[in-house]
Amino acid sequence: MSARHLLAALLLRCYPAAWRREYGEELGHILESRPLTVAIAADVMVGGLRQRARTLSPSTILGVSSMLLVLSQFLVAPDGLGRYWPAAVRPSGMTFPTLKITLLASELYVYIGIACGYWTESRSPGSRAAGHAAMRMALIGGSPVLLAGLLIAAGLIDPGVARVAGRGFEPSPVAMMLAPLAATLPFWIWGTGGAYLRHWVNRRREARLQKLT
Amino acid sequence: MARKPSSGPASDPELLILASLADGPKHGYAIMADVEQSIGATLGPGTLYTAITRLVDQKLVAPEPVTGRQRPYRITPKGAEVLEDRLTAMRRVAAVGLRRLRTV
Repeated sequence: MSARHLLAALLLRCYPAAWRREYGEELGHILESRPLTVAIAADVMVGGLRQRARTLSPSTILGVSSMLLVLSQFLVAPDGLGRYWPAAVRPSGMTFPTLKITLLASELYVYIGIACGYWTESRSPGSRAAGHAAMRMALIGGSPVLLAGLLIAAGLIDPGVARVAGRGFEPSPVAMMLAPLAATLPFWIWGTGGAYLRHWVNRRREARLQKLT
Repeated sequence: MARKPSSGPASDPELLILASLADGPKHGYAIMADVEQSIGATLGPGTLYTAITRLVDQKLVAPEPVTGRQRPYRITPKGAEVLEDRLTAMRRVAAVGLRRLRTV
């Protein structure tokens, strides 16, 4: 196998398997029959990532991103979060009004919830799925806190991790388990708000087009 | 990235593909060459197939039987309708813009 064939095969691996079965042969043929520049390789890689993103729902993509953010906060210096983290991830009154788990109580998650609703509505307009998608996203994002609560309750990990989660006070394991669940209702509201935002943007765009013509 | 210009109709790969298929079925490589020659826009292979996938999903373009390693695509009646609507809207915007420019 020549270097070009190998590179083309590697680039095709950026795409999901189902997509490759459908279009891989044709794209592979084009990659092998044209000069393979850095710009073309980058274009194919971006295309692959976009195809992968298309097969995942916005709630999964944003939920996993939120989960990684929450996990990274567990791993960062326990007592240094307030000083080192940007304002975006500091606690806010906009999230989790019932159970205060500061790892999750940041306005950033509100914006991600709104983005989730906006994105979901863009993909399936009028499906009324935006609120539920944001709830799903909140559950995925909050799963490390829920899991930590479960493990503390089972005595499998040091309760000290709750100090990180609670910063300023120590939430009980039960509170940690309930916090992500309690978050789903406000996130339904943020997600639905995102869908309305999308409608508003659409209406403005149409009005601008009509005015122009 | 060299794959698409940042503005104008040439920045819309789906429109370029539909326009290219308007005169008959073509496979991916032929679409790229046609867009480059007749419109002067460059479509990268990744951009091309992202757009083709979307067009097939929306049933604006349909695949034909495979010939060798290539598969031609043809524009569907719905695709032709969408292309005509979009081109008509663009022509209207262009006409208004040009008319107003002349009066400045």
